[in-house]
Amino acid sequence: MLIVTFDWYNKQTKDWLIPAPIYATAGTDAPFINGGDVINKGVELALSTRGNRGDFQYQIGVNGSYNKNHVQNVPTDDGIIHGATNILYANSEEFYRAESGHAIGYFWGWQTNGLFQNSAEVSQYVNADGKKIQPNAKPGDLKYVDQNGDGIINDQDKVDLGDPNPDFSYGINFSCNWRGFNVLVAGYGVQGNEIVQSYRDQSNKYSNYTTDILDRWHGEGTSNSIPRVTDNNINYKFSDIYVKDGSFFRINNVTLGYDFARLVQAGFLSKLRIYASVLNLYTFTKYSGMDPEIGYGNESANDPSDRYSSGIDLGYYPSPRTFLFGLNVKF
Amino acid sequence: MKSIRYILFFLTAIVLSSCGKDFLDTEDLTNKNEGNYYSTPEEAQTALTGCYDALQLIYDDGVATPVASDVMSDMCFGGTGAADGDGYPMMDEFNMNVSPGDVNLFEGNWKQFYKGIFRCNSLLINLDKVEWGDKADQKPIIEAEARFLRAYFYFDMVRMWEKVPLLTEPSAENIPQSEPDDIYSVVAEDLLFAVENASKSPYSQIAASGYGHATKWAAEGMLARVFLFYTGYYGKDDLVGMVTKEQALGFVEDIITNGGFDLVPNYADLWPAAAQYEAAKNGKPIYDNTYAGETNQEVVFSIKYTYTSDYNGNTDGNQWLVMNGLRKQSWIPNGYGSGWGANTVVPEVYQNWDASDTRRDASIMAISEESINYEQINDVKEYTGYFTKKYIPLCDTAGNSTAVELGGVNFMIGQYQDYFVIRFADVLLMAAELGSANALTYLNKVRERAKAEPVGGVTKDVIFEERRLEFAFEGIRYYDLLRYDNTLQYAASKVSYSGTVLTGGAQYTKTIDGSYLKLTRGLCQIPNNQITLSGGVLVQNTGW
Repeated sequence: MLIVTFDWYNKQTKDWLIPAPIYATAGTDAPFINGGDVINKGVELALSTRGNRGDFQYQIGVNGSYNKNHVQNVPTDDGIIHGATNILYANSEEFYRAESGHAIGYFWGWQTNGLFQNSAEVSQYVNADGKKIQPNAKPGDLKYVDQNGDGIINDQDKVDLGDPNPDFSYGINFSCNWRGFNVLVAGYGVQGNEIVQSYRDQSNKYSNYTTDILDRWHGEGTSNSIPRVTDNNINYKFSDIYVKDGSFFRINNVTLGYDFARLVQAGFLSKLRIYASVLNLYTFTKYSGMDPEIGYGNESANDPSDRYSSGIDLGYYPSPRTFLFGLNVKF
Repeated sequence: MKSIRYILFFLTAIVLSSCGKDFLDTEDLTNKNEGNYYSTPEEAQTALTGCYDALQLIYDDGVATPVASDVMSDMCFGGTGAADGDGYPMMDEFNMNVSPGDVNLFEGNWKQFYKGIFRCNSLLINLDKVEWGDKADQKPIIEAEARFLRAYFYFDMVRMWEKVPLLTEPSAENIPQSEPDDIYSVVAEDLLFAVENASKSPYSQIAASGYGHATKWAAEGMLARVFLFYTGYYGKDDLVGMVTKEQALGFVEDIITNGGFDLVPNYADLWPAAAQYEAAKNGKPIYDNTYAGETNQEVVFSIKYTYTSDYNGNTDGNQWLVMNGLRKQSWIPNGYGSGWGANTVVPEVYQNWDASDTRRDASIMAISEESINYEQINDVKEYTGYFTKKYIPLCDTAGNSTAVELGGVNFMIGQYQDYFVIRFADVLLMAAELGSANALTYLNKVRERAKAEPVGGVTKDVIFEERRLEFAFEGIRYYDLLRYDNTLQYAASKVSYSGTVLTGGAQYTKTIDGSYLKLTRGLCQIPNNQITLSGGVLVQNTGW
């Protein structure tokens, strides 16, 4: 028997209560306003089946959901609810925001196009009018894309660099029994979300790097993605080098058990099950951080308007892998 | 039966017709708000206190103007901690590339100034709502003080950023920047009103409760300062057609003749740390010093601070002074408390300063010359062997922070030393600069107090040099540099520097290229967050 569940939804969360972003010139603290709608549209599909062939019984379930999220009708002048600053390191700039037409908490920054390999590349990096776009850059620095072609890299060149919300999330589970044995496997994953990874305090030149820095640019052709080491944070203003693909599939539970009651044949024992489980057995992911499964948003923000953020990995303790052995006895 | 129905109909009609809009508006009986406030003279006075509270706020966030302007001057480097960001060196060198991530260094300042302006504007537009009764004579005084404070805020802002949004009444709109002349017109108009209407009591007759209030003398001194800056920086002859040079001179001469102020006889007595240093040098305990106090006869206008700041939103103290001072160490013999090591002094400033001039030792903390056993050199950025001494934290003979001993929360937010905005010495030197007949007398009076040799003649350069020494590290020098000539040639050549300092204990060649001062015209960076928020209505200053 196959059970199919299909849902299609269009969920509109209206009139979010947010402190209005207020111009400093108003001279007061911000009032609360009803701000913006969050639209979630998607489909959910779940399939499950169970059956048996003689002693062998099984159950398989697969579910997946496809979700698109966007914000609309933000009632501020610029249509944006600005994210917090000082999140990635001291004095870091705004890098996530909620804006009409974009996913909630999308990442906003400069797009890069590799590194300058030599000073000729710096002087050849010009806009249509021949103006040098990054005249002060040195070989090994990031090359930022001048989106509007004005020859200056500034806020006008910042674009949507990614969405912390997955497009697709799915799970599978499988269990079966054969005579005294039982096996359970469960896993889940997400696809199409981005994570901002920041493990280093870029405002402090003495803070530790991750081992990634060993592959940095240190001469022409040595790297096209990890900039040279400087004692300031010139290459670590928010750009797509922070943004990583957060897709993963995690085998979350594998359990194997055997019921010895069948062997012992003692009348007073109805069950004597010994089992072993591994929780968080393995994660398939390209994400380079410690754990792609981060629920993090800026929860600590004083400003409740900042609590819509997610997908910001500042180096949290990863999920542990757990080995369990157990005994079930029933009389 | 029918008649009852008619009666009911008419009653309903009467009730409904009385339901005008006013019927639904009620007065809040338990809370003060804009609707029911500003009704009595006492409430107006309280609102004015709120404006003075903002005077304590403006330097508590971002980089306080007195600290920033000393960093930008030719007498100090940025300093701070070796591991700190390069925001202070960036200010010092006027070069965005020194710390490209610091795009909101002055956002705190920007917000706090507008808080203060909002408070002043709110009080000023509501003054006519107050039922003054027999206290009508208070109205012009309150108005004068609120307008003085508004002028103070705008003058600080227009010098830091030049074009800023100009509001003379509260507004929540997205307001574009105004031209400097429009801002100076408001500043001049406000100060002229304050000269006419603020308290005219001479120094000796100011009641204890009156210290810190803006007086006629404070307004006159500010006007002369605004006149000198505006005419110098923009190369003009008068202050936006509202104040001539003769009038400006008249204002400062009026303070000298009628204000009742005078110099404190011993220069070191103006500064608590310098007074302690002098006591220690004379073999006395540091508490047995001759500090003249915060309400002495030389203070024409000051920002009053106290130690009661807390982390619950009460800002009453001098929250910027802790940036200066010995980084992370106290020096008990002279009572210097621990600070953050900003504004390391350019070594040549000390070395070229005549040792017989008492202002040198009162202004500069010299590590080796004072035999200070300083153990945190490796933690300092741009260490030169010299720190400032005028506005620094203090400690007692047991090494405890005096701020904490008084009851402050900690040494960081508990600092309490008043900021002397205008000293009588400044009034004398401004009068000399504005062409007083007594120019030489005034100048030599200032020099005599400092035990410096009298000079024979008054020139612009002599006055500027005198101001440099007299007002070192008081947030004044930088704006003197900018106003010397409107090409900024003088300022650019003075700030240019190349020499060796120690950062993190390692030698580092500190270079300041004056052409960056010319490029930025000596102005500060407008906070990027505010530009973003305005959707590009605000425009960044050149070079930032």
